[in-house]
Amino acid sequence: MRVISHDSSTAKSRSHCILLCLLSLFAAIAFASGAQAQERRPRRPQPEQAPPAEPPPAPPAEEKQEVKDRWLAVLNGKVHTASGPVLDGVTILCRNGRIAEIGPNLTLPDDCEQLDAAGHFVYPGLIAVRSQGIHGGGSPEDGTDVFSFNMSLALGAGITTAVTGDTAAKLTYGTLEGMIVKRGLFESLSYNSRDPAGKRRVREGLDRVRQHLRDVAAHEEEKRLNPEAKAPDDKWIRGPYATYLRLLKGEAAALVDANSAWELLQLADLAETYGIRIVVRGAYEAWTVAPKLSRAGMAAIITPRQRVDENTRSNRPTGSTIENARILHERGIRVAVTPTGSLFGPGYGISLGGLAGRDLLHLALEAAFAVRGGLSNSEAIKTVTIDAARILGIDSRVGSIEVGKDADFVITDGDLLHYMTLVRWTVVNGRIAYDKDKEGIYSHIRPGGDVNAPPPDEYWPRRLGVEWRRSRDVNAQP
Amino acid sequence: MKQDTANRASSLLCSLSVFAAIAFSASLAAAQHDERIVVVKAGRIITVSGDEIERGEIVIRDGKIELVGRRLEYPAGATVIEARDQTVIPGLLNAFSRHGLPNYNRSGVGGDNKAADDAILGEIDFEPLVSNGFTAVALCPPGGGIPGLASVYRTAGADDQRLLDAENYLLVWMSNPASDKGVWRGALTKAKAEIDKVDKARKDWEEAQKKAAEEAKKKAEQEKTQPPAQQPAQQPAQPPKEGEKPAEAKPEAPKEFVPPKIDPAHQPVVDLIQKKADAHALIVLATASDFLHSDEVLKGWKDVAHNYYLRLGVSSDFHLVARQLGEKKAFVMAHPLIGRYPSTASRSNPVALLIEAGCTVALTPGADSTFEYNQYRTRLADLARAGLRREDAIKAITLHPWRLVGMDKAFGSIEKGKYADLVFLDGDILDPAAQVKRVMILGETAWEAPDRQALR
Repeated sequence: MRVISHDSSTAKSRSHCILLCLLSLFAAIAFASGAQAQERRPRRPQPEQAPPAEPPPAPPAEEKQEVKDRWLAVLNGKVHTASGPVLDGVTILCRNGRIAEIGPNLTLPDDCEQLDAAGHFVYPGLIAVRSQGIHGGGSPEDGTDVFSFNMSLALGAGITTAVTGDTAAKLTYGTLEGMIVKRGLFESLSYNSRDPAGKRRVREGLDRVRQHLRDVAAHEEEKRLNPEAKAPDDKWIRGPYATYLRLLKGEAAALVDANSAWELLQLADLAETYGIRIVVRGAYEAWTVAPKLSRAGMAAIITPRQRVDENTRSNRPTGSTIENARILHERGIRVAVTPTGSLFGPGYGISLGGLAGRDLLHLALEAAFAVRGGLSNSEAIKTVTIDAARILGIDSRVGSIEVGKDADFVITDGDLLHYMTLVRWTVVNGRIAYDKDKEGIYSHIRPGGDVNAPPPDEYWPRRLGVEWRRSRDVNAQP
Repeated sequence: MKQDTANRASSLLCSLSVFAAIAFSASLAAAQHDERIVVVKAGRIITVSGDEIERGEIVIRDGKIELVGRRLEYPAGATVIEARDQTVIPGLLNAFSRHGLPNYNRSGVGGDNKAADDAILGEIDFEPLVSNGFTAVALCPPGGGIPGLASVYRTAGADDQRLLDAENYLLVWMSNPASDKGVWRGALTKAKAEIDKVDKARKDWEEAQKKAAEEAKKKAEQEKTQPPAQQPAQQPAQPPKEGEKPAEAKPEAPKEFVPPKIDPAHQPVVDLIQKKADAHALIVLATASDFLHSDEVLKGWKDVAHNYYLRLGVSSDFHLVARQLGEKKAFVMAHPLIGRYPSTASRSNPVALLIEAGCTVALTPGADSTFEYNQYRTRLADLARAGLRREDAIKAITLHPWRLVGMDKAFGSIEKGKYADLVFLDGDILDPAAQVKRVMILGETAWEAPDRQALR
């Protein structure tokens, strides 16, 4: 299905709606009966990521009596679960920042905050796999201004989780509680053909640590017969060797910037030889070598809109294509999307200068460009939600709307991927972190969510407030 | 109606004060002649602690206020200051300043520093402060993190009366939580470790004492039970005197417990944790978020006495945490400033907002410049015009800054027993055009406005 038209009066879209309702009804039945949503599995069994995402902070046991439960219900929305079906008109009930129940006709507790999302779309909060300027530098929970305008802007773009440095952190507007999702997301690995000696060092290091792991396994065997067998020395496993150990044990994935087919093939070879997980960032030529990347179990963070000319002298396909996301997806490679950036700032920043639509303020639109390249709507939404969470290893907490996961939603007035869509509310950890009507950023555009409303009668910047307008209006009556 | 009650109150006060005056003059007969009595005849007295008094007098004895009221009697030998056309207010305190001090960078925990170390009184020009009604100033140590203790000085008067408190509040910066949070958290943890160190040493010492006492007892018992075969040999050497107890093992010399030394840089933080009287921290915040960060650090340290200094800027966002500050009944210091809500052109009156939310607010000039000192009362008048109540406005610049430094018992209002540090204005305290005409320190005129007529 393509992007849903906002022209809801047409019969075509109505039939779409009915179809969708029927579909979602079937899906809901399947969902309720406990059937797992169909997930495309990677070709190779992947070890669990460790350390796991930090569990959400639970209130201390002794204070549990006094602390009242914090309830939030999102009612009547059209819920895109991302990991499962689309559920129309269901209620999501959240308790203390986590999803407690999803279903129709839920009984709500008395002191439950309610959001009536009738006519709105509910998605899991978007995940920015790389960001700058939302959280503070250093340790996010120490350096973040939780009232910053950038955070409001990002929430207004639907982002609820962003990666800062090596930490995945929530956009907890107005509170420091429950900000950190996971630290130490990736091991960084330098492996490119500009530094052949470095490449050799990496391989030798991996060889050495792999041999060590084999020795350890052999020692375990030996210990059964001879309890006094000497354990292999592991004092040298420090610095880069510690990194290799984590990679070989499958405790972490390596994050590598790579674009050209040659570099990607080298990485695929490395991943396959040593059985390590590699996430490539950039990867504009990945579509030319997709089967090999898939076989090596690699994941990609890409920018569908990226433009690189082909090399006409080459005898193989080169350069970028807008179909990159679709091709990678079809070959079984997990894809996350990050915006393109411009001269005025990187794609992972929050930018109010330069050309609009090239930074995190338009993360959803970047995913829409993957749809232009042939990816389905639902898969495109996954590239900024659940698949991004899986690549970061935080999918146990965020990325989809499921019971037990964190209550992070973005509630929009239209399809997430449509260019007209604006975020109505953003919920982070069960708290309303952004409200379009209260935040002065987009409140004047289609107030009340009425898509057919005429444009505002005058265009003076709303953010300057009523007083300013009055002071400028010489004819205003006191 | 309001006027009526005011009149009644003032007449009551008046009659009371007449009685008091009689008693006073009676006692005066016996008084020695070297007592200095100064009488201020004011057009209006803003007492802060009580009602404002029209055409009242202040009787000052030896630098302290003895009586405040109307139609007071006073001895014939008293020095009379005629100021019937002027308003008298208590001396103001600039409770956060680096006026005239050298600036240098310092980071980390420096609780052993105090501003008094840097201040060379003869080299600081206090004229800009005095001429704008500040009779005192709390000088702050330079640098970030926890730079040290503030020192409170009078801005005028005799040299030996200048220093009011060398070690006042502990300054704690939290305006850059990315680094400041760690410093503050680390300082508290280290201070707790120092306290534990002393406690452990004391415990060890007590145990050692107990052990020694027990051993001595044992020894004595042993000696008692031992056959007195050896004793005769010793006895001739040491014949026991009469009345002396039998040879009890001498207890070790009762050594005083010598606590291990506490890191002087962390001593003020230790004082804070141990709730030592007068120990309090002033936490400097730049944004609303800093308050949350500060609150998070102090979550485990409930008893640490602290006030906040909100560095209000034109578009500060402290309104977002005003409710939380109010719920804590926080004591905050701020700048008198009409701002606007961030990203809007809507005006905000943060001081009025904070008071409404339940905070106690003290004010301080926005910067250390003659211009800011000069604009201080003008800006206050702006706040009052934008909705701040008059009594709140007056308290915010008179009594509350003194409360911040813990000296409101002796300064900050015009009432019996307080120091006669007074400021004479030629208009109302909230009149932006009113000028300071005279500054009185301990009952003596320390500064007088130049006579413009004469200059001409």
